Amino acid sequence: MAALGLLLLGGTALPGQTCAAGQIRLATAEEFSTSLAELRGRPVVLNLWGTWCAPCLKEIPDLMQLEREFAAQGLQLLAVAMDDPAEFAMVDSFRKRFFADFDSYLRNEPDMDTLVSVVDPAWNELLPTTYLIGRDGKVFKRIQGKKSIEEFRGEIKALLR
Amino acid sequence: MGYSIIRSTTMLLLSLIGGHSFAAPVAVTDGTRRAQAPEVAVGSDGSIHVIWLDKGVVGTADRKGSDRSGGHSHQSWTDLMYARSDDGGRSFSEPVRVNRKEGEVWGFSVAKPQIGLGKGGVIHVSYPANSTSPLTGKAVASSLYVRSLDGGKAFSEPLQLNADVPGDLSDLVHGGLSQAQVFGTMTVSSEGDVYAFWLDTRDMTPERMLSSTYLRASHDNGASFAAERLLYQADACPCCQLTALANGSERVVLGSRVVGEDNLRSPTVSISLDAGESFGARIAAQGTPWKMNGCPLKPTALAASGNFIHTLVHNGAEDPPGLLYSRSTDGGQSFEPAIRMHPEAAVSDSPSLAASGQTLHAFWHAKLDGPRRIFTRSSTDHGAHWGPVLELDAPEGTGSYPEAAALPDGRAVVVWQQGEQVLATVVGGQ
Repeated sequence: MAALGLLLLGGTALPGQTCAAGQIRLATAEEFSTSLAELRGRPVVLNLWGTWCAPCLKEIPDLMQLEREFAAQGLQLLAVAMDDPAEFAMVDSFRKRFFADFDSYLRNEPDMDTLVSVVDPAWNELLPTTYLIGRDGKVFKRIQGKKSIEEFRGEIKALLR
Repeated sequence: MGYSIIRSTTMLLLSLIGGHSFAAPVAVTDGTRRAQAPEVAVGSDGSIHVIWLDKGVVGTADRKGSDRSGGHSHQSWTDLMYARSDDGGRSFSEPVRVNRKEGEVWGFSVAKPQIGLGKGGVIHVSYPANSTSPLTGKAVASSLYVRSLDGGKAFSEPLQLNADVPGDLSDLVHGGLSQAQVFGTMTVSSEGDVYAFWLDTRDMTPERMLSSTYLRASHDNGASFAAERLLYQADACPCCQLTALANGSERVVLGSRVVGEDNLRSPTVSISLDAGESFGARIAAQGTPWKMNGCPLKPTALAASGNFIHTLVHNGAEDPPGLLYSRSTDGGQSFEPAIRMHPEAAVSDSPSLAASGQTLHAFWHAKLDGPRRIFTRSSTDHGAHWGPVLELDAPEGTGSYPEAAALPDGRAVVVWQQGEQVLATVVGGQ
């Protein structure tokens, strides 16, 4: 089950919204912060991506596979598209075409940094950026640039130790 | 909502910080509309010219023009606005829309339209625009050029700089675009030469997801342009905006981020000594090698004075990631070891440089323990030594994406986004 479906099971749906596997939803920094807080106790792979970021698109299927692979350990993939919030329809259409089961937030802030600062105040606006977040809610590792599935698998194993 | 100083206000307060003077910021936009990605240029008479993206009314997510594109999806539909100051930045004129077709501008804070002042006060502007390819019927983003011969009251019909190219690269370019000839730059010489560059996807392949660099030049103050020319084929980071400057007679400096082996993404400088007819090899500015398979969105800020060429660029391989300054004292043949511009910052980015004689001003946004703010340092000896890092006087909140230009008296004017408003101030002097 993809990330937001698990969020539903965990009761972390955004206020006023229903969850289903495979969808794009807008999130403000505050809403995103709330969702993250409610995920405390679970290891999280937070992936920042954009429809215009080709390396991002190559690694998303790998991250979805790893989420399934480590489901027993409670791993959750949480994705946030950095596209302009006005482009909701385009992003959702894109998702349906390339990653039908992919759940992702879309930033609902004027700039990218405001939302990402919830997790990383020193983010340098680079995509893809992936954060491995421990059960304690703290960032275990920041990974920038596309990595192979083997590299991600190794990092996730380290996170789960 | 907006900053309290309105455009017509003529107050010019000076704050003294460490012996450096900053004029109090002046609002270029009135704060009611979403203004982003300002750029600035200065005329030989000291007039200040600012452009910015207008993304609609604050609190809305306007998507102008989308209904007129046949339903194509794009990432950005905005207008490009222009205003000028003829009193040293104390006040700015009412905004004028540059683009004739509403909402056609494809622009972001990391893909900014460009402005330059040419011979006789002609105002030159280049900007990325949404379009539909006449060859494929698909959505594309192209580079356009306009100029104003009346001091910014009106702008010409746009000239598409890039040729229409065949091929539907939608599955490579993504974002609803089938081709992109954007992330460009433009520089204008005092003699009226206009050099417009862009990054071009036409040579992109699944195996080589890199952009080519193209140039189109005018030597008659923008009245006509020579045909486009390929400068470098499929070796540049597609999302790292180009930078350029015309430096003296016939010398053109181009800044770009080249992607080498193992995704080594190096900020580079290349020089033309023949008015853009040919460019030399790319010379890497100094800094920690940065290998990364991703989209850095990082331009190489440039400034030059004589044989001194200066670069300021974000390097994600630094810990913490931040801006590195490097200079060449031999006209761009080699660069000295880089220094960190703001070592105390948690992150520093979005650099801009302005040079006048021996004086060099650097601007950027950075975070200490709060939101992004605008910072500056100055040098009075061609970048050999730098003064302290100073934070610009600005309202509370997020300040970002500064751009600067040198004034004739050696000071610099800087514009930036304060929230969703554009502010300007003058830095330098005592």
